[in-house]
Amino acid sequence: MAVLFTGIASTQRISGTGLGNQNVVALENGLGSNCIVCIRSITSQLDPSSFVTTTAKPTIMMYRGWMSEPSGTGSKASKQDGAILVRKGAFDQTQTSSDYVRVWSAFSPDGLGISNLTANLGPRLWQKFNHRMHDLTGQIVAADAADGAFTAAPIMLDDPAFDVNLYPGDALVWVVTPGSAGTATNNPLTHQWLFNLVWTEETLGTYTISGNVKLSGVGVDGADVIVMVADDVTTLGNAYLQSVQTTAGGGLWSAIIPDGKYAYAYAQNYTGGIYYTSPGAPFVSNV
Amino acid sequence: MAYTGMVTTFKTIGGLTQPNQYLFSVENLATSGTVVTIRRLLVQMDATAVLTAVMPLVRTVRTGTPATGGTTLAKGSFDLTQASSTLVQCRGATASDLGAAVTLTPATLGTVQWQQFGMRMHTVVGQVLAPDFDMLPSLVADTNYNYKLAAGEGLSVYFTTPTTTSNPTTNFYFVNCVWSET
Repeated sequence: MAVLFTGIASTQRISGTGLGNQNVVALENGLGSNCIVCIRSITSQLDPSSFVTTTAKPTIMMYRGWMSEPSGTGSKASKQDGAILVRKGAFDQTQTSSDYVRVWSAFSPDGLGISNLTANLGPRLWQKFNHRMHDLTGQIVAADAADGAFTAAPIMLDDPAFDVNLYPGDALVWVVTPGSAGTATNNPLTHQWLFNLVWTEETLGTYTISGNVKLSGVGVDGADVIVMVADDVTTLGNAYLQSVQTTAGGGLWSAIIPDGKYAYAYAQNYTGGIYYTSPGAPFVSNV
Repeated sequence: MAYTGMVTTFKTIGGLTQPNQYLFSVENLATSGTVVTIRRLLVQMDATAVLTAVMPLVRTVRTGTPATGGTTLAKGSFDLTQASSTLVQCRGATASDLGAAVTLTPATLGTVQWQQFGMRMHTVVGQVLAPDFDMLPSLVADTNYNYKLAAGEGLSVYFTTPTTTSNPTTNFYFVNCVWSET
C-alpha cells in the first residue's frame, strides 16, 4: 500500500467522569472512504490531582469498533453524541486527508466539561495501566511517550510491516476504564487526560463503474447520477450514499468504488419543466 | 541530505500570564527553496515550587512565517561542512539563560499538532527528574515519517496555562530541536 497522507492530532484536555467506562477518543475510517487507515502511534497522558488507593490504576483500553452514524462527509459534531471532531494536522501539508477519516474526542474543552463519546465497541485489542498517586507527595511526571511508557497501542505499529488496517466503516476506540469491580472513583473529575495520535491513510483497491445517461437516445449533460454502495446485495449491509455524479460530455459519468463493495446507480434530471428519473441499474461488484 | 542542524533555547522562565507563552519557533521562510524535516523536538522543565493544580500543558502548533519578536538562536550543525539556509530560522523567548523575557509572537496559527503535560511538584520532596517531553511523536526520527515544513511554514512550541497558577515564575524551560534541510 502506498501512503496517501500521514496525519497527526491532539485532543483537548479531557476530564474524567467519576463514573464508569469513558470513551475518550476514536479514529474512524468512515463509510465512503477510498483509503485504508493505519494507526501508527497513540499516547495517553494523565495528570491526577487526587489520589487513588482502590483496586487498580485507571486503564486505557483499545477496541475495534464503529461509529453510530457513519455516513456522510462534512461535520457530524452535532450528531455524534458527546463528541467533537478533532482538527487534523498533516506531516506534509501538500498531502490531503480524506474527509471520511475522522478523529473524535470526548467533548471537554480543555478540562471544562465532561462527556462520553458514543461509539460501538467490538473486540478489545490492547490495554495499558496508567499511573496513579497513592498519596499526593513529590513530583508528578506525565511520562514522555518516546519510550513507549504510555502508548495506548503496541509501539510496533509505527513499523509499516505491522498495519492494523481500518477499512471503510471501521474505527478504533479508546476507553478509560476506572479499574476492576466498577471502582468509578479511579477516574474522578480531577483526572485530566490527553491523547495524541498519528495515522496513515493508504491506498485501497478500487474499481470504476460508469454509464451514459440518455433521453430519447441523446446524451444528457448535467443530470445527477446517485451512486449507492453496500456490502452485499441481500441485506444491503452498511449501505451508504457513495457520491452524486454529474453527467458531462454527452451524458457520461463514472464513480470509484472500493474493492469488494457492491454499487448501484440511478439518474435523475430536471429539464423542460419535467423531472426524469431512470430505473436503477442492478448492483454490480468486482467480487 | 543537504544539512542537519540542532538548536537549543536559553533557559526560559515561566510566569507569563497571557494565555500562551511561546518558547520556541522554527521557520522555513517563504523564499527558502528548502524543505525542513523535523527529526526531534522536545521540552525539558524544572519546577521548584509546589503546584497542586493541573500541571502546565505544552503544545506544538503549525504556523505561518515569519514570527516576530523573540531572539534568533544560533544554529548548530551535525557536520560542519554543511551549511544551513539563512532562510531557516529558529527563535527563542529570551536572549540569555534566565534572562528577561523577549516576547515571541508566531505568524498565523494553524492546528495544534501534539501536546504534553509537563510535570509538577505536588509537594517539594526528594529527587526531581527532568525527562524529555516530546513535542512531536518520536517516530519523526524515522525516515518513514517525514514531518515537513515547506517554504512559508513554521512550527511553534508554547505553554498554555490551564489555571493561572500552572505556569509560575519558578518554572524553567528549554526546548531542543533537530531538523534536516533538503
